[in-house]
Formats: sequence, C-alpha cells, structure tokens
Amino acid sequence: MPVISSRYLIRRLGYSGVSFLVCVTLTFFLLHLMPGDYITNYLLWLANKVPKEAVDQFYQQFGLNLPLTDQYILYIVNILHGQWGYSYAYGLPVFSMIVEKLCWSLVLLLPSTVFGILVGTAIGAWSGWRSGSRRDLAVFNIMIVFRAIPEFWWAIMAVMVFSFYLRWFPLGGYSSISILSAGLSIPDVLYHAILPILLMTFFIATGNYYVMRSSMIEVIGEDYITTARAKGLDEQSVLWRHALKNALLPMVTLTTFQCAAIIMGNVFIETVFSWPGIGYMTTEALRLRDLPLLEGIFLLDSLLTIGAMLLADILVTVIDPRIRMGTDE
Amino acid sequence: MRHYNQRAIEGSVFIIPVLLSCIVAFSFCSGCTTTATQTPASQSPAVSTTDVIIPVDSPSSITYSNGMKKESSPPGVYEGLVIKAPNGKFDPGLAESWDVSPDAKTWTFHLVPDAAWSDGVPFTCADVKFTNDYMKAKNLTLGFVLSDVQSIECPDDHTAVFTLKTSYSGFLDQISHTPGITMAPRHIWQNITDPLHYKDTAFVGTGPLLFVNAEPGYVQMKPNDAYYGKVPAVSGVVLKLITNPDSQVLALKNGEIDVVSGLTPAVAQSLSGEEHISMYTINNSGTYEVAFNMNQYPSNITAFRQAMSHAVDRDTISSLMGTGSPTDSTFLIPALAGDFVNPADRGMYDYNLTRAAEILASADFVRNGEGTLIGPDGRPVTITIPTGSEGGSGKQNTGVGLGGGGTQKIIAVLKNDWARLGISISTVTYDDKTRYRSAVNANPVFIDSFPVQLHDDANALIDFAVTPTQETNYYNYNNPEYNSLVSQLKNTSDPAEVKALAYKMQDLLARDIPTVPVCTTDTIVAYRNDRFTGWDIGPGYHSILDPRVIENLTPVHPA
Repeated sequence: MPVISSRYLIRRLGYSGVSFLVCVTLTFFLLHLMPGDYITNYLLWLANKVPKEAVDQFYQQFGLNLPLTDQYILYIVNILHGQWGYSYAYGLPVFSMIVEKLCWSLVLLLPSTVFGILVGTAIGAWSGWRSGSRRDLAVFNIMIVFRAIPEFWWAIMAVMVFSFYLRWFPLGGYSSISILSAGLSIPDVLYHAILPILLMTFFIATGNYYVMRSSMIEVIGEDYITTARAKGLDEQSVLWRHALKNALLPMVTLTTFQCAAIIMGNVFIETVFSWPGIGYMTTEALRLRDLPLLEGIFLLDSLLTIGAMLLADILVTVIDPRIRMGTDE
Repeated sequence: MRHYNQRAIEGSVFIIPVLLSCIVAFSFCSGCTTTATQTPASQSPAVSTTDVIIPVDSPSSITYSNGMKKESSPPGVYEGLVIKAPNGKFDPGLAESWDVSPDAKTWTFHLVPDAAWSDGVPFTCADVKFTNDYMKAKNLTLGFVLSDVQSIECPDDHTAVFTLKTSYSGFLDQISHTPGITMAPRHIWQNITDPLHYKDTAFVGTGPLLFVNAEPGYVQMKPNDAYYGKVPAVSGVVLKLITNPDSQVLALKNGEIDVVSGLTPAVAQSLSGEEHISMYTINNSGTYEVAFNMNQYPSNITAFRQAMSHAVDRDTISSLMGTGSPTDSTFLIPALAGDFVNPADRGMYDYNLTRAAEILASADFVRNGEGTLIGPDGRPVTITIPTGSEGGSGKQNTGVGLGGGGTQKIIAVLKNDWARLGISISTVTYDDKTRYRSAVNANPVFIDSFPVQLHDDANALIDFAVTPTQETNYYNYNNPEYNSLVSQLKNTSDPAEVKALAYKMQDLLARDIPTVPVCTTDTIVAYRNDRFTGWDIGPGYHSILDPRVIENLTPVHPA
C-alpha cells in the first residue's frame, strides 16, 4: 500500500498553491502598508530635502500613484509572466540580484547547514544515548556555554584570533585582491569561506544537538527499546535499528525548515566576514524600502518554505512507514 | 549480512551529503558573479604596489548601474561644472570660469577647452545641454537639481549659457553638492531609451579616474592619463568591500588596505603609536543642532525658544562627542563660512539656566510646587524628541562619521538641564527616515545633524525661507521679513550685497531662534604612512574618495 495516496498528494499540492497565493498577497499588502517609502528616504539621504515634483515623478514612473488593488493585480500578472521587476535602489533586475546574492549565501550556508545538521545530530544522538553519563553532561554543558554566547561575538573573536593574530584565514571578503587580474578562483573563494563555514556549522550544530538529544532521551525510554534489549539485541543494533531511526523523525521536519531558511541568509556572519549575501541584501532592502526587491526575496522565501513543508511530509512517510498520508480515505 | 549492509548505508548517509554540499558549493562559486566588468579579469592590469586600496562599507557603494544615478556610478569618473569649496567659494570643474548677470538669472559657464570623455570624444556644450534636456525628458529623479533651469544655449562648443526660470544667486551651490549634478556624455546616452534600467559597463566620464573592472567585493580604477587637470600619481585605485568597521581597522593594521575614515575617538586612541599608521582629523566635517518645529506648542512661542537656547550646554555636549567644537553662531559655522558669519550675532545665547528660567517666567511659564514647569496652556511642559536609529536623523549625506549616538548624547545633556527648568523629556526612536520626518512635524523639538555644506555660506540661509518654490522648511519658520531678504538674496550676484543680506538674515535668526546650532564634529582618518602620503588636504574635504584627495596622493615607494 502506498504511504501517500495520489489523491492526498494532489490535494496537498493544491493547498500549497493556495498557501503560496496567501503568502504573496499578505507580503504585498504588508510591504505596501509599511511606513516610509523609498523615494523620500532616498531624497533625504541625497539632498536633505524632499522636492515634491521628484516624489510625484517617481510615484508615476513606478505606478505607485495607482490604487493599491490595481498595483496588486499588476504585481500578480507580472509574477505569472515571470517578471520580478527592477530594484528601486539599484535599477537592476530583481531576479538576477537575488540569484547572485543567493549564490554567495549558499556558498556559506549549504555546507554549513549540511555539516551542522550532521554534526549536531550525531553528537546529540551520542549524548542522548549516554544521557546522564559524565561525558554527556560535559558535552551538554559545553553546548550550553557555546549557545549562550551570541553568534556575532564568536564571529568577531574568530576573526581576531584566526585571521588577525594567527593569520590562518583572511579577514573577510569573497576573495583576495588577485580576483581583479586573475578572475574568480574557486580555491581562493573556498579559502575565504572556510572560517565562516566552520563558525556557522558550529552554530547550527549546537541547535540541532539539543533537539536530537531530547528526542533520543525520549525514544530510549520507549517500550520497544526495552523489548529490543529483552530480545537480546546488542546495544549497537538497538541504537542504529530502533533508537536512532525513531529519534530522527523530529529532525526531518527541523532539517527541511533549516534548509528552507537558507534563503534568508545570516546577516551577522555576512557582516562580520564582509560576505554580503541574501541576508545582508534583505536588511538593506528593508532599510531602503526597496519594495520590488523585498517582494522578490519574500516570494522566493515563500516558495522554498512551502516546498520544504511538502517535502517534510513526504520524507516523514518514507522514513517511518507507520505514518500514512491520505490512505484511510 | 543485512546488519552490515545497513551500516554501510548509514555511513553513506553522512558521506554523500558532505560530498554533495562540497560539489554544490564549488559550482555556486563559479556562478556567483554577475557584476559589471568592463575588461575581462584576465586582461585587467594586476594590482600594483602603488595602487591605493580604500575600503567601502556597503555593497551598494560598489554596485554601479549608470552615471545618471549619482550614487550608482564610480567615484572620480564623472564631473560637474563647478566644485564646492570651503568659505562659500567654488573651484573650477568642467567649467574653468563663469559669469553671472546682475539679476542672477543668466549664468554663463566657460568650459575647459581640452576636456574630453574617456573614449576620446571631446567634451562640449552640447553635452551640458543634453544632460539638462535628457534628465527632464526622461523624468530622472536627479533632474530636480536642474528644475530652476529654463534653457541652456550653446553659442559655441565651450560656452554654456544657462537661463533660469527665476533669479537664483545660489545656483552654483545647487549644482555643485547635496547632491549636485554631473555631466553625461551625449554620444553615449542619446541612444539609451530606458535610463532607469540601463546597466552601464563602460562608465565613460571626464574625471581623473577611469573605471577598469568590477569583481565581487572589489572595484578597480586607474588614472585618466588624458585628464585636463592634475593626473593622480597613484597607479590605480582599488575599492575593497569590508562591511565590518572593526575589520577595516584590522585590515589597516596588517596592511591590506591603506586608509580608514570615520574612526571613533576610542579606536583612534587605540591606533596611536601603531607602527606605520598615522592619523589626521578633518575638522568641522559634521554639525548638530537642537531644532524647533515652530508649528508645535510650546516651540511656537518665541520666548520659549529663546529661553531654551540658553539651556543648551554646548561645551559639555561637544566634550561628550569626543571631537569637534561647540558652536556660538546662529547657524553658519565660522570655520567654514568665514566672513559670512555675522560677528554681532555670535555668543548671544550663552549657557545660562537662570536666564532661561527668567525668560520662561516672563512668558507665563510657571513652576508648580513640585517644580514642574506649567505652560501658558495650564499643563506641564513635556517634550518628546524623535530620533533616528542611526544616531542622528537617520543616515545623513555627509560621507563622514557624525559620531554614532551623537543625538543620544545631546538628549542626555538636555534631559538633565531641562529637568532643572521643570521640563521633562522623552524620546521615541524611528528606524525609517519618512516616519522620522513625520514625527518631527508632530513634535516641538528635534535634534538634527547636517552635512557642513549646508552651514558654510549665505546660500545655506535660504533653507529657512518660505518661497514659491519652497513651500515650507525644516523648522516651519515663516517670517515675511526673512522671506523678503531671501528673495533679495536670490536676486543679486553682488558679493557685498549678499554678505549684507546674510548679516540681516542672521540677525533675524538670532531673534527668532528656529534652531540652536550646538557643535561641530570632526572625522578622524587613519592611514598607512609606509604606503602613501598626501591624504590630508585641509578642511572642507570630507571624503577619502574625493578626487581631490586621490589627486594629492603620492606613493612612498614609487614603482
């Protein structure tokens, strides 16, 4: 019997479509209701005054003088035509700007998310399996200390120690200055990425550690673990075949959301390591009230989050055959 | 058997994602650059030891679209007709000299005869006329700078005659800064129909620098050897993106960059004595004022404003800022405005809380039994001061460090002093400039910081007027006598008359007090003295990216 019925899957996809439309609508209206606008901020920054004719001209050029509902309809039509618009601040196509910055963010976030999940899950499972032991308590307390100190402090300390004093890594940036004559060098970019990746791996791992440890502690108290042991299975088999599999279930949902959250980047790390990615761009766009850019970023975020939720549903049924979606209809 | 297979599978569960993520990271690295590049990187000149490396703190500072957006074009590439200089003077730019008619309505610019665009095409009056016509035809935002221009005529290639809609003696001020206007090459732009979305890759300009190359996190420029003025002695200029100010200082210390601007006094102190690092201070690069919204009670009462001007402890505030000096003039900064400052109006409102209390009492402000000041409306006087999130009124167009948190320092001092007069102060912070401006319009007092170019000559005084083209001003100050003086000022080009009018205007400001200038702030710059000399070119040059600063640099070890 299939774990997900096709009827359920179609319905689920339909719901995802509706969710996406709701997200896009909410994003559009909330952003447009946000106080402040780009042109006023821009003119105050540029000229310390706001000439009315310049504001009116801008509103007309970008259709901001139209009723909000008309702007919304235009926005939806443009999205359906694959047109994400142009950034007010940069005058560049929103989609290409997002793709470029997302790429840079992914260079850091993809490996660090994967490593962070693996390391955090592994240590959490190990710690949970040995809960109450001295080693567990030692690891647990170390993790508390690491987690309690803010990310940006660790980042600044890492730059000071490893980049400035020891000079093992560069101070920041995407690449060294040789990029201007030699072009982009992948080993050079990775060399610049190592320290931020290590730090982010560390942050993500500590978060996953707690979830996995708790999940493991919960699972090893279950009756089926006692039964497995009573059957005479060795501890490794109990761990790998029974405890770990079940303890991983909450991690699947968490992991899919962590992957979806990659789109929002990590502003602290991007700032400290001069690695402006999608997170930095989002905060800049918010500050400048660059609506087309913000709409584009949130549009992509909505798509990825909704996709991740769908994927989490499917993955859970694959990992745990007891869970069936829509098969009782 | 099954047991071992499962272990192998479980092992691969860990290994495969790691490998995959590495592969994907590699592939992303190779696809992460869509930045403008004029010359393919492999053909770009290698960075030389005599290239000066300057940090920028925001990606937007090196994300260029085209020269029609001032902030979206490389520094030193485009030029205007004139350059703002200290003491109300102007240096020649693309215009080597200029004349103005007695009514200040016709401005004739004599253009530099041997100026040329970087692609070799001569710069002529046709480019000047085109810039004006194109900006207006395409409704470009920066076109508002030229809104007073009726027409531009070109009697010959090197003469541009501007006819204004109305007389305007401050026209040079208008076109030279905040934001000013730069010239655009007609032969390039005449074929571009959509300037809003045009992505330039060549940046053809007339300035001392040429755009060479942009790569992620870097922009490379080189001197324009055909420049009509002084060609920079550096072999190139590299802008390097370092978003974190602390990392900029570390990069300076270990020699990755050559200069850092806008240091706080504490950081400057920590750098003193460092080998190969020198520092200088650009005096009076920013200003602060305690301003009144004269439409709001109690700031609509002249005596209240006069009293409060005696309740601003400029010396204490200035010392808290760590740099700069207290201001004793009505609005213009003496060190920058020189003769334009009316000496009779200096020091009129000294710090004297007793005097402040007397003036308040004479205007029906009374203290109740608890010491609270009760206003003429019968209610306690409480003041809410709106603040921006970036220290002052939000990010200012100064290009200099105005001392983050300066507003909070002023408010802390005011709270203490004004409490002694029975006035309580509260603050509300806004992270958005538009909301901040709205709050300013709804409250009686605000703290503001200005670029010094708005404090350094008689033209700065125009901002206090209400005229047909300026329906209101920051302070909602509307004095017909003052407005008339502004009208006269705009209609004359006689320097002596301008000065006399400026004096009269300052007399009125001293009486009406729309604002209380508090102090100036300085910008501290640190640089590597083993690489370049010539950074400090005197007051009035606030940006290390100013072409005049770059022109003055000399490598310590020439190539």
